[in-house]
Amino acid sequence: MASVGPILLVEDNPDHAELTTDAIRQGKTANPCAWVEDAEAGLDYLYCRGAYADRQPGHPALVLLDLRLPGMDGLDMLERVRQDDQFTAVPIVILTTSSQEAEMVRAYSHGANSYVVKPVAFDEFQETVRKLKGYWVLVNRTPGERGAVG
Amino acid sequence: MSLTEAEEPVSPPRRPSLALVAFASAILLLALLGLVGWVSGPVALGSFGTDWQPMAPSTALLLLILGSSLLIRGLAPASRWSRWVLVGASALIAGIGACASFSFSQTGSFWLDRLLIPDPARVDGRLIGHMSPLTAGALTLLGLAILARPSRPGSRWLTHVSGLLATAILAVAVVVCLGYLYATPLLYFRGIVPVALPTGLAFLAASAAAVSLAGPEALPFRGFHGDSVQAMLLRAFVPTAVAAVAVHGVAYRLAYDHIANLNPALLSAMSALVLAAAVALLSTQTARVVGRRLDEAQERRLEALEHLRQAEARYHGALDTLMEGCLIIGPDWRYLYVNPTAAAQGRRTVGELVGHTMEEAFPGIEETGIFAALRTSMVDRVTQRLESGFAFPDGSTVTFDLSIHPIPEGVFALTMDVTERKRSEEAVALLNRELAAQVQELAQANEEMEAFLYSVSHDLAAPLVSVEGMAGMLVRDCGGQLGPEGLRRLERIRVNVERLQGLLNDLLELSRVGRMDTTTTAADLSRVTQEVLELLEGEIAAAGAQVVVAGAPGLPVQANARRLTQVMQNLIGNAVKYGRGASGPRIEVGWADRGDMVEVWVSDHGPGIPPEHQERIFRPFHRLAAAAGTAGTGMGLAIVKKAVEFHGGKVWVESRPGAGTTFRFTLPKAGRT
Repeated sequence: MASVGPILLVEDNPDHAELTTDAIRQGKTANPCAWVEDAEAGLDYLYCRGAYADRQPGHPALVLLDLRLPGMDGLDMLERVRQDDQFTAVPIVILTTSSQEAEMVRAYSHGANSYVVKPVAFDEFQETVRKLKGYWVLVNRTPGERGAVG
Repeated sequence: MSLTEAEEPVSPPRRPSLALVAFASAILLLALLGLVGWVSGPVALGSFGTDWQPMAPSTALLLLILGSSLLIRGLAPASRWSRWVLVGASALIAGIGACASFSFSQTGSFWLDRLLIPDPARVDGRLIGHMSPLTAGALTLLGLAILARPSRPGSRWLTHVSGLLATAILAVAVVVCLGYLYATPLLYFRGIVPVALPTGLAFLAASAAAVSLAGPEALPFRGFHGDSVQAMLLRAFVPTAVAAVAVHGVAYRLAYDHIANLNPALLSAMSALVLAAAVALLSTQTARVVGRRLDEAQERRLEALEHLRQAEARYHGALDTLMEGCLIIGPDWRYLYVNPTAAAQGRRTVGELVGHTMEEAFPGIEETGIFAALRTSMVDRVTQRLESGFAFPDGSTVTFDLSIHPIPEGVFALTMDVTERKRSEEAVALLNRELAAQVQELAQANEEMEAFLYSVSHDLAAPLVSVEGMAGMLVRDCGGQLGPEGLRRLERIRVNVERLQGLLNDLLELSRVGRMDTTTTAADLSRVTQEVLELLEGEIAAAGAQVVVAGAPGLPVQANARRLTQVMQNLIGNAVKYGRGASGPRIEVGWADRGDMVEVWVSDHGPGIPPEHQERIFRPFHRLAAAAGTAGTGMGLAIVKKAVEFHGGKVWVESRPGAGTTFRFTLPKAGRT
């Protein structure tokens, strides 16, 4: 399998970030995983600016976005990204502890591709992230991508 | 005959007028007698006396025309042509009468007389067979009288003219008749033809007919008409006076004719005696008639007065005992009537008010709203209704409900002291406002509570994810180094995380009931029960429970499917968990129709719930001591209660320790309007 784009994780809780990156690292395909703690840094990453001016260019294969973030909210960031045409096809999955319906509705209306509630049970958490990676990185196709399967 | 023009603008009499017919017949008869006398010889037919002046043929002809037209009019008062006949005839008579009068003044004779009697005889220098100039004048007036009011009401003054002309003819006729009665036919200047007696009588009848035609409203007989005492007296006395004169005249005439060598003094005395007797007789009769009428009227008046007095006493009695205050106030603001209630409301006695002005009784009252309303009613004559406060000098204020009506004496006011009612209304309004505020506060507190619950359960979820995740990674990555005791303790951490998570989920659920997804549909109880039993299959099997469904299929309830499932799942799950008796749990699920509602129950044969706990088990976090060893959050029944109440139903428990427990709840039946 060819190497694929990085997964961008926007998560303010370091424990959750550790759990998520750990889960992403599991399995046969190892994706590079970039972790940022807030939405501003997430935008910097996407636009290759600030601390990420020197990163390897290209869009992430998947953005895992928490909703409750310090400063700019996850939904605000989602909205900003979706307003930019170059990120139209970047899959953005909301990964949060909130199961509030109003937030789900707003997330989808702002252009989220998926909404996932973080399971508490460890095994379930691992399985959920594995499935996300499997689908959005390995199965899903986006334009301008080097062949995912080759 | 119409009374007034205004009441009946067009009202020709519909039935034949008997008076008119009678008068017309009399005229006709006299005229015919006069004519027959001339034609056949017995001149006395036209004179009623051999040495009296006979009726002239010209007069007889004219009277014939007049009598016929009056007869026709009397017989057919409604017909238009009878009216025109009468108009024509009266115009003709007035015209000929006027011509004759003119002729007499110029030549001393009338052409019609000359035509009919070319060679008249003379007796004592009087022409026999020629019309009297007086007759000519009277005929003119007669024609004009009838012309002035031939039929329907004309103008008022024409009517009066008609009546006055008719009266003038009456006067002429009376003079003529009296002349004959008192044996002085030559009331005229020498050489003038006198009026014949039949002609005078015919004029009497004709004037009566003219008066009758002029109607009751015409002068001068207007006063005779109606029920007034004046009319009554006129109707009694005038005919009496006329009759007395007539009787006297007849008696005088009889004595004059039949007693030879009469002493003139004796004649005078006798006639005076007869006159006195006649007047006495007639006055007595008149007085009797009039007196009776007056007595009757007086009696009726007294009776009416008594009725009035009784009615007034009745009304007074009623007003006096009325719970409402009643006042009658005159235009000078004086109390004319005050009932005891009204006086008590004003903190006065009736005597202190009646006869006094309002200002005297209550200085300064003219500045109040009550007085303003009274004035409006008094001046504008309108009904007023108001509720107004009145401040007494001691500072206390009383609220009155007033209704004020204008009456001829001034104003009539009904007053009610509504201070207490007003006070209680205000108290109730205040309580209601407070209650509404409290309800709103409660609702807000409830909302805040739910929001808090929601937020807390979310915020607690995040560290749970961390704890569980870290523990999971520790077991996975470093499990080997921990040893069995370390692994057991880690496992305890994870079990407790799981319990905490269950608790959070239930809290979330509780906060969601009635807030999220409130749509209801018709749900089939037996299908829902089946689904729940499948969901709980594992637990039921593990507990070795037997579940019997005792409800007939096909009884739909109006419910939110998710909530109904949750309620059934919690209740059946509880029964499975806690319903273990001597053997494995035996559970019965059933439902029954209860009119608008459906009652559902879940029974077990477990240890039951002590009475002191039955009230509290529906509160969140309440767990029985017996349940200490079992898994659970204490939230299930709270969710059940909230969900059932959300649907408008009730939930309750029936349990005796040792005899099992039955939970029952009601839900609205589907299809209920």
